[in-house]
Amino acid sequence: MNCRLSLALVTIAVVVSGCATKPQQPISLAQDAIGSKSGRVGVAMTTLPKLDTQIPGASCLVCLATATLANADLTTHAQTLPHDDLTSMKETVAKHLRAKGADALVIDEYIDLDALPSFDGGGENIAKKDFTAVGKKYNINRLLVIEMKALGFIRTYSAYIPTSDPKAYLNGNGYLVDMKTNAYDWYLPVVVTKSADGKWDEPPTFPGLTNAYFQAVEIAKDTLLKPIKGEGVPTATLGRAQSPSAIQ
Amino acid sequence: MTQGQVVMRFTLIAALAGLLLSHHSLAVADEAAVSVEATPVDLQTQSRWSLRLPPDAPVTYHGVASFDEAGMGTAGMLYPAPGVAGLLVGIFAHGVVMDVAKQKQKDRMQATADQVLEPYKPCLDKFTYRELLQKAIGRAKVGGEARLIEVDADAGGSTLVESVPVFRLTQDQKAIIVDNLVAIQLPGVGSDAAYRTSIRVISSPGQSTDPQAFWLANDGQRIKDESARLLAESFDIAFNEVAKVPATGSAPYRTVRYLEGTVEKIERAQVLAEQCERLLIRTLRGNLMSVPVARSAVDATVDSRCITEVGSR
Repeated sequence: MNCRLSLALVTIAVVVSGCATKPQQPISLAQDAIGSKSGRVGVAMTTLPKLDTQIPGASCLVCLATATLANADLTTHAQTLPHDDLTSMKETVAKHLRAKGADALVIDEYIDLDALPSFDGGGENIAKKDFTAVGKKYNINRLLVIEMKALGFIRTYSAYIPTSDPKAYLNGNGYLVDMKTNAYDWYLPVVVTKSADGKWDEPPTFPGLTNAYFQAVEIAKDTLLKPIKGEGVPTATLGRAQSPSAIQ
Repeated sequence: MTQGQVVMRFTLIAALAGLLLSHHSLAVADEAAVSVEATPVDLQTQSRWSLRLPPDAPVTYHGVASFDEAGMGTAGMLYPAPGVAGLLVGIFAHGVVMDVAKQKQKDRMQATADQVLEPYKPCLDKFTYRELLQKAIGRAKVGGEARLIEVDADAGGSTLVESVPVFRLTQDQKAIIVDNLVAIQLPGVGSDAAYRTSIRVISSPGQSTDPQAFWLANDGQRIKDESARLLAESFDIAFNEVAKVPATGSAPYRTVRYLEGTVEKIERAQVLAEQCERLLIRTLRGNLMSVPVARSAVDATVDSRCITEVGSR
């Protein structure tokens, strides 16, 4: 009996510790990492996610189906929204890097993180994906990555019932990876939620939420660009931009 | 699974979907009830207009609130469900409780934002719509000769204007915002054919280091005057909109940045006009906004038309 109990406890410990991957903590951007002595810096974006409506909290299968159905109009609309303002961000980043004296190269291709191999020599502040092949391909010393993980809208649920109005939602990261060590020279998670001004339920074009979407995109761009421009930590006066852990 | 169980499961899903979609449908119906149809009218030919007074009451002011953090989280829910009917009742009750909780949370957020107005209460509680409209009507620059008429009076053959203005003060107390729901009804035209729109005007941010003392000087004369000036500007915008000045055209929608007090805000909009470090924009909802922009954002030529009446703000 004791043996079975011990085995069960060990199994639980292994499973729980395996799930509890420590999230990468923010790392301030040292300005010399993007200056004239930083070498050649590539600027890339990861493959953009499909615009969608996130429905956290609708946890059971029927809850999920019901919430998906209830927000179908919004999701359909989300998929019509453009993300040109985000894709043009690489050029803006490169412009600011060049203003600081860096040799910036805009990488046209979208980096598919899922296709990159894991990095063997893991450790604190080391990227989990191996970017060194990208470094070799473009002959760069550092790679500045704008990663968008989720884009569109979010509406929280408690089982079948919405606990919030839908809001515009953007979840991403900005980071700078040293191509020699695969270590982060900068890491900034950005999560933006922005509510509609007034009513949100305006199908089929949802103008209030559409406006909030464009606001969220701009807030995220400002948040990511401020350290690159050397303006320090942004004071999210435009809306709610914060670390992912704080989101409801 | 038996056929009966399958039918019951589908019935349950359909009922749940219907329950949630009915929320959605009600909201849509509600929205449709307040939506407005823009019926073009030629106000240029009208030389007189009458502004109908609302029932006499203090002017409505609020503090600018943000609802970006509104929401009740994602806590799970176990429904005590003795059968399908019990489950549906449980879900319905959960929905009602959640709706009430969400509304209470928003009310609390608004009440917190309204605290910025506490020092202004003694002054604003005595500021009525009659006084506001009397101040505003003389400041409107377009629309011809204007007069105030009582709530139940006839417009007497002139163009009838009805207005529901609501004001907000930014949390830094640097700017006032008016949201004015305007209806313009030509003589001989039914009220259902009136031109209706919502116009927001945001004052340029004040420069005073003590905005409260600034606004409240002389028994709040400045906040009253500025409110009236913003309202008059919203009437001018409404009249120009009816006369299609500036031409609405097909300007592309773009992301516009403007100031709300000292806070930079963003709107996806068509830019209709630029003048005096201000933009006139049309929002995605089709509403009009007159907003101040940062000095560097617009190459504005300062001329006499750009000097505000409040002067040293």
